[in-house]
Amino acid sequence: MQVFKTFFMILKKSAPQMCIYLGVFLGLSIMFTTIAPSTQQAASFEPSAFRAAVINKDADGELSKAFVSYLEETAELVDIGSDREALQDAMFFRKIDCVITIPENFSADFLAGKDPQIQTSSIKDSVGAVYAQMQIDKYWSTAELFRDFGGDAAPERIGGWTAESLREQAVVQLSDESVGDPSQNQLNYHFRYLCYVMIALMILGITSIMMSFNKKDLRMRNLCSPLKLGRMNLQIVLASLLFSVASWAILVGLGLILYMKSIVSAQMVLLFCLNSFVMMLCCLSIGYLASLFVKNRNVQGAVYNIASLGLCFLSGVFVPQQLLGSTVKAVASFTPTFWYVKANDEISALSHYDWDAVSSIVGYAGIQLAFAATILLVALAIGRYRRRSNA
Amino acid sequence: MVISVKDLVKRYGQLVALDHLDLQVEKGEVFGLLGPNGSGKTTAINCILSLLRYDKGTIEIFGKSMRPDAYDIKRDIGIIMQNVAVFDELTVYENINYFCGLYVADKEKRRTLVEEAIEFVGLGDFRKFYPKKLSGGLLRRLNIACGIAHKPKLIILDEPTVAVDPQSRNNILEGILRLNKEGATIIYTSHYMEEVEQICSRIAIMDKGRVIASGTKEELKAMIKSGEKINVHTFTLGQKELGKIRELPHVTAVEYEEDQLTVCYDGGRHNLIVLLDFLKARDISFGKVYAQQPTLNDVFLQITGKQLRD
Amino acid sequence: MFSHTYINRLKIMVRQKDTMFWSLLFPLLLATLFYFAFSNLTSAENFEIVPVAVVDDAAYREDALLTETVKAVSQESDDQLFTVTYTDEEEAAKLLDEGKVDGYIVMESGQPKLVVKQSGINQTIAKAFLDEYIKTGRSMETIAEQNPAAFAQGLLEKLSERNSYTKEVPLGKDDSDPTVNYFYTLLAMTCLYGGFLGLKCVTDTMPTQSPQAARLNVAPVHKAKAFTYGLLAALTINLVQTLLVLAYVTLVLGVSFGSQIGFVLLAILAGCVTGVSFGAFLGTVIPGKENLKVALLIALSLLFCFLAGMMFIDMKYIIATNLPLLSYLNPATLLTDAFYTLYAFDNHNRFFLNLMLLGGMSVIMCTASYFVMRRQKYASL
Repeated sequence: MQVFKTFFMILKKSAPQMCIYLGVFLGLSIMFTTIAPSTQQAASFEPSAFRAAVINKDADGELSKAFVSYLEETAELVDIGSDREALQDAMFFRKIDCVITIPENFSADFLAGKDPQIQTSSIKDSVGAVYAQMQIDKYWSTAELFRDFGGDAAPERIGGWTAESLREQAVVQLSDESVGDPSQNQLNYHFRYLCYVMIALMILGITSIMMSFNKKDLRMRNLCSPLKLGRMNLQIVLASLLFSVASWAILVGLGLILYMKSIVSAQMVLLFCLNSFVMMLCCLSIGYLASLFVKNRNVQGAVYNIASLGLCFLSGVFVPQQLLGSTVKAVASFTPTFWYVKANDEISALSHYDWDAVSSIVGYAGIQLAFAATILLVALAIGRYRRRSNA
Repeated sequence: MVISVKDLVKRYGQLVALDHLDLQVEKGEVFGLLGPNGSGKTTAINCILSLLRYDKGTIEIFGKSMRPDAYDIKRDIGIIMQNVAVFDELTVYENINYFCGLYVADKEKRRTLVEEAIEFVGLGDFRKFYPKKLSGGLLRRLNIACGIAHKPKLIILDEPTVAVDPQSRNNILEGILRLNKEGATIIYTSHYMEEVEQICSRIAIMDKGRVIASGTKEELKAMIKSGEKINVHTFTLGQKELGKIRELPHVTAVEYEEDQLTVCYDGGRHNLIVLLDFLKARDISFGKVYAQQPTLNDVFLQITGKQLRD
Repeated sequence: MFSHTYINRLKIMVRQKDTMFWSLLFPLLLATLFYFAFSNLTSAENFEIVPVAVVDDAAYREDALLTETVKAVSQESDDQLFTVTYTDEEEAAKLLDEGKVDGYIVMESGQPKLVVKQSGINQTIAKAFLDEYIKTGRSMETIAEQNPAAFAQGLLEKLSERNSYTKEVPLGKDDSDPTVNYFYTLLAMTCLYGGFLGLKCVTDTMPTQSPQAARLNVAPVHKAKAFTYGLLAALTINLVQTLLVLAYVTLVLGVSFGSQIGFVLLAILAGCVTGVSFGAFLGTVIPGKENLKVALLIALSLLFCFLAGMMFIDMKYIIATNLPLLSYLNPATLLTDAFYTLYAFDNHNRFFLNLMLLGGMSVIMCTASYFVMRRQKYASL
């Protein structure tokens, strides 16, 4: 087990370095999980209030007044004044989602049927701004209905009716078996980002160690030893496995402790663990494969970035899978991370754990396992070929 | 005086690396700094070069105080480090040119200097090679070329022959002597006493951060009691004869073990003839006879009580 | 002396072929991946059709308006909103549980109710649909009370009309596409990775780090000067790399950096200076060998880019609103922000603030490394 021992001796020597990596990725993992879900929920059109600054140039218009008071009810209005730079800054810092300007004489023009327009300046494509747009349109389309069909009612009444019509909303009920508890999401998020953290950590860890291992003279000495190549590789893989399992255990353990409140059932935790364990094996293979290409520190930085960020962006770790285009998804299905995230999402949506419900998840885990094996075999083959050709 | 080191003290925490070291190197010398690994040779060199901070002492080179920004002094120093200090990304020519360029700004002048250096170490066929393609010995030669291309007046070589094949080693040692003939003062550190004995005109032996002896090799050998050592292969030597041998002139010690007689002298001449005459006179038959001159190892052994090489 | 050091340093760096290859490949490859991953993202509101179930009971069939509207939006067309499965409540719950539908609509005391398993975009769309329906119902009730003739006057036609009552008046010059931020952070990362070159420069100049550096130190050259020239060479290479990435991202992928190319180049220059200084700073100030410094460089640049929104756009704003100081101290955020202001705004105040902060940071880091580097003797090698 000499190779095995050497691996850990090198690991011990690079302990400060490993601690830095582990520390940063633990930090990232926590930040991902604590910050991301809240923003992610905003991305799902939760009827949360949008934030806006309102400039009412039609202060005397009845309907305009009614509109502003409607906005006060549905939105969080921030008083910034009308200084353009200040508004721009506020928008820049996301203090507001949009600026709503009611032009002069808007109310009168509207009642006269002139189709005047509210001016909005918004953060394009921000959820809040889109939501604001919807609310404004909803208000004025309703007001228009009352204007046209309300039997020449006074502006105050139009405003009143409009507000009243808008007040009522559909009842949304979470199903009995729902997993809608937002804190529960945290475990899902933790495990989803775990995938990124593990790829990055394992590539950095394994390549760092293998860099020392593959130094030319050391490698030649190893090759000259009576140890069979296969056995040597086996020992290296075993040692990397031990390293990976340890990192995985730390990351998973920490997640479970931090988000203990989110644990719904033991089965769910078990499935999360199973899924991430299989992913860990993939990361290990990827790390081992990467170590064949990483010969110096600068290359290491680039390779780990390509692999970790590339895989994770492609397969929906950072961008939810349902937002990815179908072509991207098709390409992504050739990555193990895609199946990991898919399984992860399904696990968090599970409400009971019979075989029917779990079988697809086990299938995804199987796909990841196949990826892990394939990547490892490719790496071993490349390694063998290289050693023969230019050891 | 080319180098004058007085009372130099350097500590690494508790460890005293240089313990009130004094060194004087004269112009035109090949000065050897001999000592076992860890005796402070490299530390002394690094202090002399103002790379290391030291706790006490004065260092003068060419009669001027040595400081990190004493560029006029540095211009005339060439240094060959223990570790090969070349860039893997530059070819043989480019490496020498780069390091030479730190000393000589003029391009034309530099070109001839670099060519001369390449010629000097015999790397003419390897001009365009990258260091990775060179064998250990050739790499060492490149390392030397990088240090001497600017024709320094003082050349410091710190163990330049570690891990070098005999052929390259001879090439290097000859080269050093040639440089010396061309007028350069040489400081040569090594833990190979044969090398030091072979080329150095004056030698300082270091141990535990101190110079424990210095002088020419003859002077050094004269310092110690033991002189010549004679070995005789012979049988049937009795206690009586051994006693007689002990009484011969200049004999300091006699040993007889497994038919091997060893007689140590503290000087004198023609000891061998006297001994052989003695044996013949008593009809003691003997086989192989050989005499050993004392080595620097014996000097070191005598002074420190331990071997130069571990 | 300058050209000698500069040219040789360039040679030394450029000839590390695998380093050059990978450090150029990684931003190009990631940019391409971003491009494909986000091509769909801005049109995320062009939702895919939402699968819902409707509990098709008597109460539902009674509500003619709802029945009709649901039928209308679930017809195959460009505006199709739902694919609807009509079923009973038990089956609907099962479908929901199995994830075959995102939610189901069931009538409850005369009002439709949406049952979902989790919140999400599709669920919200379904809710918005019901909101709209309820609002319309309320409005019609009110109108019917006030003006019974309304239906005859074309109320229903009016209902299906969609008007926009707003006009977007951008405050800045361009419409902003948030995904550009990903590319901006990537470019920031490319700049920060110039730190590797800065670090290499330290390794080759500081005698504690390499024998080559020791050799430089015994030569009659001003070390701080040689170091500066080396950093300039590193800067040159980092600039060329970043510009190549910029060219690829703008010309090939078509990502907009606004129209002020001069300012963009200025920002890139500032970014590269910061990146190289960052490496020089870490290299000189952090004691120990190269491995540790590289680990720090990798970890910190990742952290910076993460906080600048590389993995989550929102991260940048969360930090900006909650911990503004951190934004001002994060070079990746500053650089990303500089690109952003050029892209989105028409004044340069913010841009120059960012650049000044970057410059200040570089000056501090360079000064610190200069003072460490200027130290001419070392306690140990």
